[in-house]
Amino acid sequence: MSKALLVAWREFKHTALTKSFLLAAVIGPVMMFVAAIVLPVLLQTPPKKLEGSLAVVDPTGEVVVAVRTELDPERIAADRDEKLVGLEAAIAQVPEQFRGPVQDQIDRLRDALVPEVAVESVDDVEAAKARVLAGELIGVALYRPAVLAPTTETNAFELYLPADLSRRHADLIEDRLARAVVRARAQRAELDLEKTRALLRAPTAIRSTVTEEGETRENELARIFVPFGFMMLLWMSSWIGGQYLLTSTIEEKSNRVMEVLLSAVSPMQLMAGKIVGQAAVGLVMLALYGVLGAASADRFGVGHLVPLHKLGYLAVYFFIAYFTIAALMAAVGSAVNELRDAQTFMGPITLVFMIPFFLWFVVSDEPNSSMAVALSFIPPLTPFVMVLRIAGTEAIPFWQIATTSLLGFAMVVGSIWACAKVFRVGVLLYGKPPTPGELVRWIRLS
Amino acid sequence: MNAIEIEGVTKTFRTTTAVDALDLAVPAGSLCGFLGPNGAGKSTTIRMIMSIIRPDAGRIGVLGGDALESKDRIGYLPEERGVYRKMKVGEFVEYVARLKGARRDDLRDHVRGWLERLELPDVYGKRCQELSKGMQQKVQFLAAVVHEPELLILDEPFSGLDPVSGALLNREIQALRGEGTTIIFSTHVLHQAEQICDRLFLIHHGVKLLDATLEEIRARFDPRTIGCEPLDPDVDLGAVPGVRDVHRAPGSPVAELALEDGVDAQAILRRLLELGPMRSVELRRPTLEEIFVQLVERGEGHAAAERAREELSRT
Repeated sequence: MSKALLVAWREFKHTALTKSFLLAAVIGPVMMFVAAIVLPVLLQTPPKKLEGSLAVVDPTGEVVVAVRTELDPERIAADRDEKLVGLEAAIAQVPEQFRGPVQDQIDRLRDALVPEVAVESVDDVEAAKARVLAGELIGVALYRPAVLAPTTETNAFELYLPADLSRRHADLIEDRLARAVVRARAQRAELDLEKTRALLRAPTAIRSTVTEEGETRENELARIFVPFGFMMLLWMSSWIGGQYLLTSTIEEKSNRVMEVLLSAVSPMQLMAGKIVGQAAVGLVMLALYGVLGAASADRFGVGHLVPLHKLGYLAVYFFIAYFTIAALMAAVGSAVNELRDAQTFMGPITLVFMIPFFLWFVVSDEPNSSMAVALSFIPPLTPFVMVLRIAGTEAIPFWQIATTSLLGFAMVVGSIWACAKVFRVGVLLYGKPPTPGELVRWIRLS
Repeated sequence: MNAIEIEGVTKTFRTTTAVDALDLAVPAGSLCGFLGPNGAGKSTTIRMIMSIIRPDAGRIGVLGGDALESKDRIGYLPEERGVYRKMKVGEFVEYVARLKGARRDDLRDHVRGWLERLELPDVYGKRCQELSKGMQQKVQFLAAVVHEPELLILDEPFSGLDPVSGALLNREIQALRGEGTTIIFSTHVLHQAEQICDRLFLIHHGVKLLDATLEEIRARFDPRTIGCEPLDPDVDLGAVPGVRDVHRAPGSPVAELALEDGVDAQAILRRLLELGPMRSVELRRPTLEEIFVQLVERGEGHAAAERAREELSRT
């Protein structure tokens, strides 16, 4: 094995195959993934049936009639069926792969047990509240007469519920009691409620974007959040790999292992080995988070939104982003003796590499705007901005991908060239950390 | 044959010249002491031999080739000790050995054997940070010799070691030398070198002051001082021909006689005894420190010599 590879292997082993790395980098997302799988399953278990008596205080006597209608099990079942028909009609228009979350909703709705609630008309709210507290009632509704001819202020009713009622049941009761008011109002105005409801229901638009490849369904998630996911993936894997490189270089220097290493390998072999070793760490993270991300997206029925065929570009831009960051980190790590001293240099570097986060929305919203194109050609931002643009739904001209990649590779070569010079001088220098001016002088040294 | 050949090597750091037009040859198989006070240029020279840094001018040949080509045949114990704190001892030593090109299949057993030899049993699987400082130093020594180098460079190997470990290390150094390894031993503690080296190389402010075998040095720096204590304190010791100066420390009955250059010390001893009865007469053999100071005085004058003496006593 070549010496640089030996260094790379040690670097990888002592970063990625350690308990702390496993905890920080692996277990976190794995837990999130498990939670993402398990939580919906838990949420899907059908809630227990709602049963009991509900007291209604209604001086007009009109609302309580409507409440009885709304809480009639047959009525509830009929409403549910109607809703199901609507959802199923809607889902039929949607391609198979889009259906996941809606199908879940349909299944849940179909499995839900129809509640059986008896309605009592009472006069004394306080007495009824006492019975709620005693567990005899599942709630008390207080309708004031004004609710039937409402102004903005009076369009409300009061509802008193026991503490142990589940949220889902509380929502259901509230929904039916609110509907009862509307029913009573329609009654008073002598309107056909069902007809009016049907008239008032606003239709949904099924949006498509016309492109050269045909019509595609536009989706906000795909347009804005998938690019963010891609960029985040790129940023995390390259930045965290770089951070490990920084700390391990500083450790070697402060431990004084550096001189032992340099008696066996050249500074260039050492730097190359370290960068390659941490690149492997970055790739592990990229693969891990990538697979987890894609799997979660698939689980939530939005897997088709993750453009897998664009992962190749992600790899290219990972290479550019990581090697640029890694070269900088190796240079900073070699120049200082303690992590504390590194902060002087890390401040500006961190700031530059945070810029993509501020640009995220603007770039993703209009990936082919002149600003987005211009930002793609500003070297430290290139990989991040390009990934944001490529992962979106708009097509990016290939010449831009080609030229920014070339620019990126030039940036990698340039930063490794400059940082290698700093590294060669820095690794053997102890004492006061150099000023930025001194670093520039080291680069100028032949 | 020479293991190391240095010709006209100069190295400057910004405004300081660390090594100035240095010439040096280390014969193969010798145990050569690199001596000088801290900051004399020893470590810089060693780093250049190791090709960790490059000279500004001059040529360095190591083991018949370029320093870079010979890297794997050199063992190096740097002055600044260091181990990977979290790495296990065995893994660390094997890692360094592999970096040094060790290809042997029995590397693990070889390392275990060495650990026994250095009286470090049971540390193979321990993390380096669990060891005491002295133990870590032995592990570092092992990392320098485990790949069986032809040339071994030890920069201050005894600093911080307890006497027992020091003796053990000394024994191992002598054993390696017996096997034919060329050893360079750098130190600022001059009397240590006097005890174990057969060749000495003295450097001061990057300039070579002395490069000779121990015998040559003893012959060249014959005693220039006689200590004597006459029974009669009033006898005129300065009257003896060849005595340049008589110095008596206040309150001390012993007089230190400085001799003129080129006179026979034995003849002066005889003359002194003729002056009258003596409680004691003694030829003072110069220590390496004194030789060093003397050399500095000869080259750079009295003030520089005083500064050098101070540097030595400080370190």
